[in-house]
Amino acid sequence: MPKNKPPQTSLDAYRSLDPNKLREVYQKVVNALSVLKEGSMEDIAKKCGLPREKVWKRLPELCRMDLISKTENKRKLRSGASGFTYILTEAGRQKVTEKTLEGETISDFSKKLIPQKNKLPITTNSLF
Amino acid sequence: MKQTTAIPLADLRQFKKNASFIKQNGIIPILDYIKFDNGQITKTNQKEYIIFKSNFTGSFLVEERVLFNFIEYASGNELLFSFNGKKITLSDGNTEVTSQSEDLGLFPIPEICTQEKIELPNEVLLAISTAAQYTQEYEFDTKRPYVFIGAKAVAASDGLIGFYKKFDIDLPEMVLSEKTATKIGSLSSVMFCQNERYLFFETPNSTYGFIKPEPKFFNLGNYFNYPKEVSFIVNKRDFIAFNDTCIAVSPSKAKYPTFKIEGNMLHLSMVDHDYNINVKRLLSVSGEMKGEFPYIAVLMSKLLKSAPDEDLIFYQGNKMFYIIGDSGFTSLVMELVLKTP
Repeated sequence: MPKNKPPQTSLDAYRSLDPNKLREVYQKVVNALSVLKEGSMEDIAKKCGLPREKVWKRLPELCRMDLISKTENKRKLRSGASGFTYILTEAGRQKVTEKTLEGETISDFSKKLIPQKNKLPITTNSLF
Repeated sequence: MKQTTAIPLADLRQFKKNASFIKQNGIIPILDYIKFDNGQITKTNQKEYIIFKSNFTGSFLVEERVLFNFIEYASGNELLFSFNGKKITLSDGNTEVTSQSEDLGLFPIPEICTQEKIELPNEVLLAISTAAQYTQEYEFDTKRPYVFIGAKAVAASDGLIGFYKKFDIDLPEMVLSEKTATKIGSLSSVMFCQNERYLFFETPNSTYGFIKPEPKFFNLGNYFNYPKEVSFIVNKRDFIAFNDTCIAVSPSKAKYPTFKIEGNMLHLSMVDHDYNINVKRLLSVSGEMKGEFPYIAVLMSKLLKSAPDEDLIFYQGNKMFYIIGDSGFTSLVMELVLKTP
């Protein structure tokens, strides 16, 4: 925490943080990095479809939550300056919720090659 | 100006235990602090909070990590807190810890209920605790993850098993997440009230606040109108032993036993085709049923263990069984569609 008292506008913005909206942004960043593999703040913002300002503030928070990590690689930003790139951590990969592409996956193809044991087809009746 | 106050160590340990269900996400730094304010100790993550009552004067913030770990190893009857506006010092008379404090004005003020309070009897709290076991986390689902209280009942269902307990008294309408229901179910002597955003539960020494989940109240009672034509009675202890045996002996995740009645005996059977394991048991029963009923062992075990009665009546419904006890315990279990190879 800074030693000098922060300005009132900063305090107001800080108090207005909505955990639900924050979670949406976190999820978008994680999903974006799962596709990009590695990206700068601008790459991530573009992939998320969010303004840069909304994304760059969340990146240190996601690093603290150990969902992403900052690499030592840099990329040129729009301003001409260089920015570090980010990647997903192992914990972050668990949080990816993007939809899979249509069609047969490698896993589906592989399963067909393996002889199946006698499996009981199961469905459950559900209350709702 | 320096403040010094002493707080009983027993109170601090009780607070730590009561507050343990509140997890921080490490995002908003001020929420890493515990607030001490003239007899009230507060911890919050803005979705849940606890205000614990103790006997002290003074107002200051202490970092949770420092406080809770100091309490762990402190000795004596009380802790001394000395606060000079920027730093806070904790002492048990032997060990002293000084850490950075924070501006009290930054700490969020929890919402307080100003509505009329209603008593929640301990039987209702017990039912809430039981119902919490019947929930299942499901993203974006408005029924399975929640306990529903209202329409004179407490109910919950994950879609495969369901719990319903009716009461003679009117109950305030509310929806609880599994975490909230488990916490509230562990309390006693609770007074309840709610406002637009929060649910409040007050015990003699603490006030708990929980932000309301989004789903609205849903009356699960309509699923528990059970027919009484076909039924049997069985002792739950032996049934539980069979289910637990099935779960323990088979390495596969799929444990789907079945039961049927033949010759006044309940035939319990599980065949694990992947590992060629068969489990069988016969139980004495009084009554009848039609056909054979396959079910999920883990769920049935959970249901039976939550029943307070020793003897349970199984009423056969459409693709389900209602399991009822004389105590008023009412539950249901759904049938699997199981095809033999």
